[in-house]
Amino acid sequence: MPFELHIWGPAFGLPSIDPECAATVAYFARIIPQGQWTLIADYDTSISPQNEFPVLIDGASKTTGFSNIVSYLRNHHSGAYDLDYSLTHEQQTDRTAYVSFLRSTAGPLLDLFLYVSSENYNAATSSAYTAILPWLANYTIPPKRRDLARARTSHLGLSSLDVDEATEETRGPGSGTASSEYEAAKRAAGIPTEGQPKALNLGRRKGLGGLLSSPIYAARFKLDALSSEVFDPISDLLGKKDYLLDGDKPSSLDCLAFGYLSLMLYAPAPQAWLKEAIGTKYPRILRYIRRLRAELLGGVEIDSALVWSITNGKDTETPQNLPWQPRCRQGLVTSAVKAANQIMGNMPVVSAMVRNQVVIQDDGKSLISASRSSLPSSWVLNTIAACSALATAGLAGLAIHQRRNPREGLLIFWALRPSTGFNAFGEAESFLSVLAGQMQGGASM
Amino acid sequence: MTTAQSDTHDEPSRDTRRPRAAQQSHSIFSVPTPIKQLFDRFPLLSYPSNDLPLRAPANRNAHVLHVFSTDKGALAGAPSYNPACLKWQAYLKFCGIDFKLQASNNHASPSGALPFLIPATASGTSAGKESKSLGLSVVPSNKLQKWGMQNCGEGQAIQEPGDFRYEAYLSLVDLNVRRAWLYTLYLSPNFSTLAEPLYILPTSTNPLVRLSTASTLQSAAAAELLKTSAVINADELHRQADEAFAALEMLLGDNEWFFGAEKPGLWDASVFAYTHLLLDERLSGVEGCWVDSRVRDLVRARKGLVGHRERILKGWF
Repeated sequence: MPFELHIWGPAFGLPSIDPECAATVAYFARIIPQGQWTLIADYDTSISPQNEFPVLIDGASKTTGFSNIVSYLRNHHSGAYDLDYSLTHEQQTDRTAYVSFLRSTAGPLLDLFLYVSSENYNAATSSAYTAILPWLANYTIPPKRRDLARARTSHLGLSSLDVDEATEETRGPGSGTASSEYEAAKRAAGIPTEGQPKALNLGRRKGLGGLLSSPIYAARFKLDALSSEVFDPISDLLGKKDYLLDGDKPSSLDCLAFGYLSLMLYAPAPQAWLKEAIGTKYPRILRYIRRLRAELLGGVEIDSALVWSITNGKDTETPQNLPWQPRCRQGLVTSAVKAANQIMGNMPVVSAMVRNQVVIQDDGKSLISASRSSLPSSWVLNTIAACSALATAGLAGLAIHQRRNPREGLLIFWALRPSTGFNAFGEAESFLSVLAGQMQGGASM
Repeated sequence: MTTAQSDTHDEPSRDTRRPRAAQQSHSIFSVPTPIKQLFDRFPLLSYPSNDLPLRAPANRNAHVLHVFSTDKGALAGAPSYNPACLKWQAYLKFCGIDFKLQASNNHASPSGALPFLIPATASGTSAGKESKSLGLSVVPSNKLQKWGMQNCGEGQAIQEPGDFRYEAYLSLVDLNVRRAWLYTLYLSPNFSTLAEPLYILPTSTNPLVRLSTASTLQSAAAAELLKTSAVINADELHRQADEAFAALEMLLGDNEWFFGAEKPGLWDASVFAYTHLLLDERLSGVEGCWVDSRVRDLVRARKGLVGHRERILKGWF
């Protein structure tokens, strides 16, 4: 039975929009012979035990994640499908270190590039997702992955990339009127409008400093620093070799590097700072990625539309160099339930109530007897909650009862009426009784 | 009389009115003489200035590093129980800088995170300009390395190894080991024996406040772990930590310090911060506080890392 590899669908001419999926495909294409594996562009992560792609299904066992799949192939098929078998012990250690290095540095950089930067997201990423997802999932999956990318990069302090530039133009006075739309259309077409003579953006108001301190340029300096943090060590490791570790053969680290770096290089984003950085400062990395693409994937542009039609079983004729297969069709009921779940999970208020607990998978936990905690246990908390709920219900009941049977006549609190007249002010304030007399007089009048 | 008055009333001339208005404003805004005399006698009595609060910085002539610690541990200079704090504590010790510890919490820090250092005021002449505006110059953790370089003794400056694998291996500590640490401390059964006495019980005596602090802490740890994977899988975290420890042990090899350096540096401090805490069997002050010892066992199996930790512990603590 062939291996079944489920991944996020292709984008930008690359096998997948996700770096780890693209890396896994590159690994498979390199070492596993044609006919022994199939590739499925999927979008339903619930088939994966860890709710993530890539997933390798080999008979009954399912493996998630690039590193896990690589070690599964190494351990379960007697080393036949191991790209790293010729590495020395030290190189294996280096591979472990650089794999985690790529994850922890190149991952956030790619997140910034594809998801956080609103210009790139709107122009490139979201349309790439449109090509590989059914229409309904377009409203749930890309925003979710964007939120995750935002969370991963929040510590970098670059959320200024996330400014929707459109707001700047439309927020002006009189926006939304027919004439302003006309002006905007003219501006977009490059025709000078009489509304505002724009000689140069470098006006007195901004100046060069102002231009450089505008969010996109201020972020640019930080982004350049971040990208050199990623590319410098890789460039050092690559040196003059053809591959990162071994001189003459690609390893699993090369596949992972290809997954991350190819998305940086080939995504047709309007703000292509990563592509520029690689092109100008790291020509060796540029040549390395191009070479890997030709060697690992045959240098073919993957057509997302074609793969989409294969995935849905409409087109089985066109030959591909990757073994794309249609995804198995689900019953109408299951897909409807899944769609409903996804919609529920994205509604602002409902999701907070429906959201299930964080999934923690730990087999060993049950073996350890939990020790006594000095915090109040759950039954104490439940008791308090029950008591306060009871009290609230009682008060509410009383209020409803009062509302239903209003008391007849005026409600007079006899206890509050002064019994001894206004002399009750006491001796020290006896002069106030003058006031009281006035009040009484006023009242009687 | 009346006619004269009515005359002036009927024919109001500006010339006569102005001086009157000026006189009036003078009488309104100037302080009446008796009150002025009264206030001239103030202050009747000036009290001596209050003593500083007991918690005010006492050791202004020494550098004070604020870390997560117990009051007793801070006095004894014991290792902090927070990895980030312990890393800088060890680094400053490697630099040969004499400093005092102060038990603190996140709310005390200007940047919102511990550790931070308040340099001694006597040596703070170079930082004096900054301290004028702030009242006190504070070194946050991301500037501690630079500060340590500037303030260590002659010939004590630590040159970080220029190995090109430095960043790659550092990511093993910052990603794999840290994730396993977060899981084992906050989400495993260790939470009630380790995180509770160390982080939660000192914050408040109210059980409900403690409970909400605990759940905030746990959900923050879970959110941190969920950033890089869709579910939290303990086996995977432990496997990654084991890989990382194996790689670190390999990197250390037979050397005394990482990258074959002559004396320990920031790298050794960042590894020590995790290995020491994982190997410390009385981390919360009680024997047997490691209920879930799976990550701890991973380190214990690595003899090289255990030896590395012992060397630092003996030499500097």
